[in-house]
Amino acid sequence: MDLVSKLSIKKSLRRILLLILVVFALIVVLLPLYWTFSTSFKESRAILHIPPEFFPRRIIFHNYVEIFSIIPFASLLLNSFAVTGITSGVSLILGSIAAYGLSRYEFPGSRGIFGLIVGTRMIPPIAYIIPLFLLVSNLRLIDTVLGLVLAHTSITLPFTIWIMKGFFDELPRDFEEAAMVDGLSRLGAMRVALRLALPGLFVALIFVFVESWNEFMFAVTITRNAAKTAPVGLVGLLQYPYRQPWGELTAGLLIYTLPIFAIAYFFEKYVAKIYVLGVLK
Amino acid sequence: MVEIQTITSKAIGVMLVIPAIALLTLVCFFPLAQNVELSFHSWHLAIGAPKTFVGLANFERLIFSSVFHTVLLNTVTFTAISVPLELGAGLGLALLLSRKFRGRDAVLAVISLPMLVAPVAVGLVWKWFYALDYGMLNPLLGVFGVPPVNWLADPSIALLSVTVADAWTMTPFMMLFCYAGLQMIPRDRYEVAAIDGASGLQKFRYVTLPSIKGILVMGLMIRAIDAFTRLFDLVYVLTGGGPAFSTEVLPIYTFRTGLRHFRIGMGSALSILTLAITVVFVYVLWKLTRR
Repeated sequence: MDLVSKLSIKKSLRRILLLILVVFALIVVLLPLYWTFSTSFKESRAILHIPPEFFPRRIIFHNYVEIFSIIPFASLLLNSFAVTGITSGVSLILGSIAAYGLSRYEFPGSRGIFGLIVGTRMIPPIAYIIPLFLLVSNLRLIDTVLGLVLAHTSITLPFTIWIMKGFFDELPRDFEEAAMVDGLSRLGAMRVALRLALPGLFVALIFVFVESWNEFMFAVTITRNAAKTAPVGLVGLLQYPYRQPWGELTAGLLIYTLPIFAIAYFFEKYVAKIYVLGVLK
Repeated sequence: MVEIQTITSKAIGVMLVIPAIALLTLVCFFPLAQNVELSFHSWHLAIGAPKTFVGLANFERLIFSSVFHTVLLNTVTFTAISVPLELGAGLGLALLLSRKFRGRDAVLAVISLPMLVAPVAVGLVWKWFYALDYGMLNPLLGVFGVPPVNWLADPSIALLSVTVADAWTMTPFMMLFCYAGLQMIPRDRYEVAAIDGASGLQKFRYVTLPSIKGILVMGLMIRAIDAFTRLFDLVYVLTGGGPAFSTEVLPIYTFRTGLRHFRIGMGSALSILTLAITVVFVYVLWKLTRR
């Protein structure tokens, strides 16, 4: 056998190995998700069948209706949206204003403050959740959307400030100076800068949304009934009397995760940026 | 005139920062400081006992408590297994996916998906996947002749089951991290190595690894801190800390003590200890890897 064909055999062997490994990784990632997905379309008789059906024999949508009646899932989702929406609003508004201040104006202690905010990102919520619970109950905000929003901003606000300061630092000052020469106030100049940093706001929004939508520990601590969020309600189904309603639970799980799937699908490039480049900066 | 301008500009800067800092002080800095104060007190909120100063008694009791030893050992074990596992798998996947092939971007997107799914949802997905009778894993392994395993109720396996679920959701993070690092390596380094006659393995050892060492260390640190201090949602859903304390880790134990049994002082002491151990650990790791 000549050298060229030997090399090409080696090359195609390599490609096959690569293919096998990639397929294996995809199977490992998708199998647990598939099990949840397929269960949500099964009748309860099929769910409790031994051995389990890998492919549902009959596909039904009953679970997607039933999840809204065995728990108040609509109001749980609404609470989740309210908490996530208000948390995003508060974090983005206060965070970008503060980031602008830290980026454009030097004042005594401004560097220290920024260092403190970056440091806050490393502090795990478990390190302050007990006093925060006491604070929220002293403010009479237990089981309210606002109480949970307060808790969530402790995570999302430092991140917003951090990422927005990065964006403002990279933005040339010329635009704002030109705006001010044109007779705009400092506030007007800030508005110009904010518009230019819109991609930054967008990146921050995605992060804040995912973080607040997915958050569980604060939610299970602060909410009881009226302000209960979707993840707390779904976990509560495990305590359901008689049997764990896995058909309804998996259906609810998929509805709850839908916004996250949408973000992963539409904003994949941003996601890598937030979780990787953000850290590397 | 110039002076007035700089003074007002400083004042504006402070004013812009104040609202955010005020809110952060209320919801983070103040509770953090209060946590230290609370840890020196005994305060059983559930039985209405008053808050009394006890000095270091909480810490003393923890240090000699066998439950705390178990919890600490579980947390350390979890960190020691999950972080290298996720780093290794993540680096492997990143190396695999840094080769060009058709559909690579789609594969990358699918594999990074678990990272975004809520940890609670991951817990529920895996609880159902692991389920003894109705789950998918046991019948699947049964095809290869493996007898059914009670993944979440066997004290000798439960922590490992939690670790696997955690690796499923956190490996993508490490993969993206390593992937970004690999993209930053200049091509010509590989060309030079090729001219020198380096084999594939030698290229990895002498070009790839040294080039991404900084990023690997950073990923390692971030994941280690997370594993030690943030493993809550998964355990809460999968095992609740059981069976027989075999998956009881620091965040779960702190939560149970402070916010379920309402032993406020002891819970605070636990979280302060967690934070202290983390700080020491990070410092040591940082010193070790700087060389």
